[in-house]
Amino acid sequence: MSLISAVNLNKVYGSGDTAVTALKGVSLQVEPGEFMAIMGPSGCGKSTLLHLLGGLDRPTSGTVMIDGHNLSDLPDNKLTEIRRRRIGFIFQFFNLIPVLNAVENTALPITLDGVRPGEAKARATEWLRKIGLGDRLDHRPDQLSGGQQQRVAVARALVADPALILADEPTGNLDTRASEEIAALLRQVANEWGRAVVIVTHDPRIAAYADRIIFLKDGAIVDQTVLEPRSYDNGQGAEMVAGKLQAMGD
Amino acid sequence: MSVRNAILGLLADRPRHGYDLHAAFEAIAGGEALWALKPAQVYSTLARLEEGGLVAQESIEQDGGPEKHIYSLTPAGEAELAAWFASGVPTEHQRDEFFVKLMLSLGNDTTDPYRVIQAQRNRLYQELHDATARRNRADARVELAQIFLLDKSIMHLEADVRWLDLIEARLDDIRRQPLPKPQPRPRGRPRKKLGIRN
Amino acid sequence: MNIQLTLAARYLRGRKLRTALTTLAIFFGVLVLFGMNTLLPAFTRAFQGNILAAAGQVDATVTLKTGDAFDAAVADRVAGVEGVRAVSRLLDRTINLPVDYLDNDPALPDPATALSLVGLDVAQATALHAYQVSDGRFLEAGDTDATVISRSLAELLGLGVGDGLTLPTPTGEQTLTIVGLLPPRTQLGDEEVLVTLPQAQAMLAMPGLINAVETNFEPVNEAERAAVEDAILAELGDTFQLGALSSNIELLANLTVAQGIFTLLGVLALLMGGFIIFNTFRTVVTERRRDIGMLRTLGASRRTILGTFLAEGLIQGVVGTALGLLGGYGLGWLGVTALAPLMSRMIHLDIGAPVVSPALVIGSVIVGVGVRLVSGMSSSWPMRNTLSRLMPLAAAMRSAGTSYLTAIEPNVSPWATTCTTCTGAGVPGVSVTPAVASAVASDAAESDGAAVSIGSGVAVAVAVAGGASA
Repeated sequence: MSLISAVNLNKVYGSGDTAVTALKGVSLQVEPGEFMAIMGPSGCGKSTLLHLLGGLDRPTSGTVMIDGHNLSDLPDNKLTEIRRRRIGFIFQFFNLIPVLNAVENTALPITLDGVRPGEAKARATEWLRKIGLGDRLDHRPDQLSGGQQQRVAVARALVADPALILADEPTGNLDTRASEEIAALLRQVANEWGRAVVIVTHDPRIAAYADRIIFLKDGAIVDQTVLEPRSYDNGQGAEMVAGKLQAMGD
Repeated sequence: MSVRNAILGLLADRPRHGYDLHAAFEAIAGGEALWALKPAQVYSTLARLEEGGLVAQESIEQDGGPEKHIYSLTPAGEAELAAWFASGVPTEHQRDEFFVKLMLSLGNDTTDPYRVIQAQRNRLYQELHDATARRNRADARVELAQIFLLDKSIMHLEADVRWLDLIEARLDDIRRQPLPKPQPRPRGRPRKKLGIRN
Repeated sequence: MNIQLTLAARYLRGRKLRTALTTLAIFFGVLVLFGMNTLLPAFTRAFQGNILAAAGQVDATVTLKTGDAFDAAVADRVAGVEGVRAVSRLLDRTINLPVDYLDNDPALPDPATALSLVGLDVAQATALHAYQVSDGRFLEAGDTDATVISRSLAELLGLGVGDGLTLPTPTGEQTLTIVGLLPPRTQLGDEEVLVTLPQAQAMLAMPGLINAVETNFEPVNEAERAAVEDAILAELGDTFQLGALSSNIELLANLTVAQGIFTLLGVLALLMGGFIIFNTFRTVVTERRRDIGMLRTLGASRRTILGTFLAEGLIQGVVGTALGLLGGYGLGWLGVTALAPLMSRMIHLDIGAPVVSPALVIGSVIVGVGVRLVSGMSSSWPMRNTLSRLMPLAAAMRSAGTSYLTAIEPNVSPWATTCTTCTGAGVPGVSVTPAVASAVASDAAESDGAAVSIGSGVAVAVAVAGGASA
């Protein structure tokens, strides 16, 4: 069973004369370990789609199933719980609480879930080290660069061990190099650490990191590109070779 | 593109023979995959350079083998090389097969131009994906130059994707305009000009 | 609660000046409220104590509403009323002394500018009052030209038992012989010169007249005593009135009003502080919208967000109130210390320490903290429609590239705020006049905080009721 299963989503804002159709009959599936990008021109509904997938909004019609739960069936507090435990969020701006430091920010989802502060801090620290910010644990957001802040946001999205990561233009505010770092990190999150990652982006270079790209236009899916990995496995570097030799010798 | 200038540059590094030049050129141009050069082309270019007085040849006896010809730069050759370094290289205006395809699809009733665009976009993304993967795999400690070359491809591909978005957005406007048609040629024999064949 | 406290403390620390000013607002309000309510009761208590001591067994005093003299026979009619055990007839008049009359020395300040001439029916008076004579003897029924004065007056005049005291009267100058001295006077008002009733009537040229009847009732419980009072009034008619004591009543009333005014000032100070906090908090809420939106997206429940604001309000309210209580007590103590020497010199009043009733402390705490919480929470009231529902959050985030403009505020029940304010304001010892009530309610209605105005209005009304019945 797919991790995300969205069937025939429609979203209409307003009513009568001022009604705006944001999404028309959108269906998609995302598997665990898949890195999917959603692209499209401004106003095509890509952010709306992401919000529906994340339970931040309810569709006018259609269903969203995350990890087996039908989001439309859930009351507010259950939905909040799912957002805390099963989904990680990354936004374009203002991801972090300015008065908390990196570890505290990272630990927020599980702290809010009632995990004891000591354990929460330990798990947050572990994730921060994994993504290479082990030397900035007690820094406040204003002491971190944009790229580092987004990396903290990624760690925070992962700390509750969610199945799904949703990111809305995560690199929109970053320079090229920081953007590529985040994109590579998200790829690692999907391929190495096995989560489903869905990002909305308008940057082709970032979308190129994905496994699959969905193109939206005027609220409907108009195209999809599946990006085949070319064989990476030859000539991947000295360490790899050495490892292989070692393995052969054992 | 000027292979001759590259050969001049390689000879400035040190005098070489033909085979050496060929290998060196392919290495510096980014590998055989990027630029496959026929050895014959190298020799013919060398011959022309020698004719033009930019390159000089000397023969060396080899024990038990045919003579190898070593080529080196003449002062004229050096001056030519300096001029090349000093001036900008004209950009390549490739023949754009896609552009032609798109224009044709506009006039063709059985094809949806949007599909044509989508197909191109898919391909571009695949290439972008591959280039990015290759670039990220490269070892920055020893392959920095290749990395930058790949960066260039990536940026070009990105530009192509953006151009595609632009075209897609204005496709309806383009459709409404008539397709480019050939200009009518003036009738009658053109005036004969001395020394120029018709 | 941990994360809420942590966030609250961090936010407060991040804006030190603002936090300090808000806490200061609470501090001042509580300071005035608490301080004045300890200082003035101290005075009141002292006065009341003295008055009661002087009153002895007098339950009520009958006088004409106009203050004029009336026939002495009225006293018998009062005595005849069912439930009246004893009466005492009085004729008292203020005698104004010309400048330098007593000491004949223009250089020195006058010891007294007026004296009160009190004519007693000796037998009746001694039944109702216990006169402790320290020198000489008390008046006797047949005395002529005899007087008993207090020790303090004697010292002022430099006279003793056996000396003569000359007074100006409508019938000319009269010299009275001092036959006895009473203890020094501790009440407010003029010093008394006690003579027999016939003597006073003769001196004042008011034969057969009295102007007050002191009474003592038989029954002890409140209801029956009230019945006796009604009976007396029924017997005498509505030209008469029954009151506590003479000139001191007015003073006591003034003190009560003064207390009311100071309490009012304190309440106004707190309300002003409340509005300032309200306004400040609106900026805070706007600044925090993004953070709140973020927290909600991450899965914070409404209660958690509410808890953060509550914690912030509590911290500031508690600190401000605690400091205000300390400061208020200090103010009261300072006031008492500064005024006591003055008081004891002028009116022989020993004030003692400021009065701190537990109810006052609790009330001040509740009001101080309550104001902080109410004004803080109410500032989010106008945004309650874009409350913590998810839909507006998503809608706001849709505006790509701009900040998250949704207020994710808890939906605080207006009843919660009203109850808090009511509890705080309607505490015994805090009395607010009706005029204040309307002024405050209309003032509050002008601002955007509908809940604040409703809450304040109701609260003040409750306080008035509470204060009036106290």
